[in-house]
Amino acid sequence: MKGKWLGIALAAALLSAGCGEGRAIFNVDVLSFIPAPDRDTAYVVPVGPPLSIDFPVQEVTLFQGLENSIVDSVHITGTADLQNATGMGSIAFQVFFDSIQANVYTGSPAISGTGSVSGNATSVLSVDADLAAAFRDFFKQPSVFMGIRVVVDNTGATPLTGRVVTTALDLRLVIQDRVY
Amino acid sequence: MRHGLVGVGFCALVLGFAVPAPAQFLSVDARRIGMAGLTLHRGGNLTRYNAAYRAVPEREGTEGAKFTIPLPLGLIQYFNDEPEFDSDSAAFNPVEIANLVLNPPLFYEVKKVPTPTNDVEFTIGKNELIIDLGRTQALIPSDEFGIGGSSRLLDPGLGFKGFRVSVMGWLHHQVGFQLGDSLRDFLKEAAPAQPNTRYNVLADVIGQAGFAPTVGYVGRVAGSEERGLYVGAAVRYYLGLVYGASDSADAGFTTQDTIFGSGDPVTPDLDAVVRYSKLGNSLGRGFGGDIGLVWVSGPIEIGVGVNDIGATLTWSDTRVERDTLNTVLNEIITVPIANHVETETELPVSYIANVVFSPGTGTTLGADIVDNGRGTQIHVGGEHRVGLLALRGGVARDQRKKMQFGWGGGLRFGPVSLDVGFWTHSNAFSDERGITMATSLSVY
Repeated sequence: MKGKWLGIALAAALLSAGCGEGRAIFNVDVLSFIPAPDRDTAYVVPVGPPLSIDFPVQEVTLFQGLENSIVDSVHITGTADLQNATGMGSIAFQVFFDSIQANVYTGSPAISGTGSVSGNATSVLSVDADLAAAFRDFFKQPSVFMGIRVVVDNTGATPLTGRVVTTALDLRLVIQDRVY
Repeated sequence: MRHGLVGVGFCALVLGFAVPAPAQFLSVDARRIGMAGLTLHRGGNLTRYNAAYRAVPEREGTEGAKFTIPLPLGLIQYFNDEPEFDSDSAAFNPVEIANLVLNPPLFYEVKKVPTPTNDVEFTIGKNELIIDLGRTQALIPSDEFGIGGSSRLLDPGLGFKGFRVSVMGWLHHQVGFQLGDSLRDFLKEAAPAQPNTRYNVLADVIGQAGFAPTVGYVGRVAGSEERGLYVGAAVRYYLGLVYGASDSADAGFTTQDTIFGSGDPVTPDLDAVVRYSKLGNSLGRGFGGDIGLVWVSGPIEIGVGVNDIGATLTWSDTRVERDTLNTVLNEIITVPIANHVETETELPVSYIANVVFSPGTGTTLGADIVDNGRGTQIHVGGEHRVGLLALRGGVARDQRKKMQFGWGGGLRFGPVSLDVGFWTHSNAFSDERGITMATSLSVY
């Protein structure tokens, strides 16, 4: 997501809030910035331990000049279609953030949701949560790396196959204006 | 620089409307402040804009001071609550700094204008950008807006029996902006940014300065001191030392076919035709003048003054260039269009109309309308003197066409008076008013 030019326009717009008490609110359609091939993945999980599938890490370029800002909240909502073909089990949908690309999948997920699948059917998994304070400060940097992990757990007696398709991923960032 | 072209302009726009309106009168005299900017003595706006007032004798009790010393109680407040100048600090606020420049802390803020809440909301997607400025949308101008004015810098001279020969320094500057339709809708209506669309700002700019040898006359042409007609007139030969101007400079940017596609999402552009005559070139020349009338009839006096009538300068050695932005080299390219050509500029006409009523009971009332090239200001007020005590009050319409109030008083001990004046002010976001107190010492 290229937002560098927003740095100046953002500063200018936020100055209008700076004349008094005010916040800057960003509603970002993160999914629109993820290339289509990176939005879904197929899974084939034999009977045994869960399988983790990591999507390619995406660099999310944010806004310049937020280093001195106070992040009030970061709220993420997302949905994924669990298009199961065979077998039964559970699928966890996890979103990771880090300022260093290599560290994205080494820490704990920022948000996580789990859905059950069974037989040839599609179900919808949703995540909806505020990020903890430890993750909020990432969004004061000019860019942050984001990763999506799917953990597929086969609880049946036959291979678990299907596809996970991310259908929505939105971020709402609220900051106090200190864009100087 | 490329991306700052529109952003800096927008910064200036928003700052200009976000901070409180600058003091509508540059005065440290608490007497005048206590009357909401009205001038009753033979000074201030009256002599500045009506030459005839130089000949009208002072009314008893309204004489102007030889000099006035402000008592800057505002500095106490300032040092108790200094703004943060370190831009790395979380407490740094450029709006507060800008307000400090526009409203220096000479005076004490009795009541500050409440700062309202105003959220700004961005909606962003790969091919989507919407900026909702909230209440600030009301400040985005639909028509041309700008700043400017005409100033007189010193006027030393010699006079004899009403005639006066002098040399006056003058300065004129004017900047006007107009948002293009797409940019105006984007900011004022929260319209979505469109791909392959140009967003732009048009600007008209002029700045010129010089000096003007002046021959003038002020005097009473009919009647007596109690009932007479005073006239003031001056003819000037304007000599311009330097000038620069650009009409309809056009700066903007064009979005890509995807708002946040690969590479730079916008392509900036600039196109401006600039005319200028540098210091040292042939002087600009032109004639103009002032005229003023004051009719005094007992307790009433009525005055009308007009300045810089017909002030048009001809610059014989002007250079004309076209400046455009080269996005490959990331620099402005200048192409000469013409050299040593003749161009003309004008100085804005300013005027004042005023009335003073002084029935001799220690009360003086007055009103004036002033247009100094920065919009019309109206002042109505008065002063009542009882022994050592003077009480003052007034109302005014400020540059944002809001009513403001002034009140105050003073104690006079012989040639010295101690005065205090209060006046109200507001910013563009709130109907509530702040109150500032001025204190000064005047010597008569």
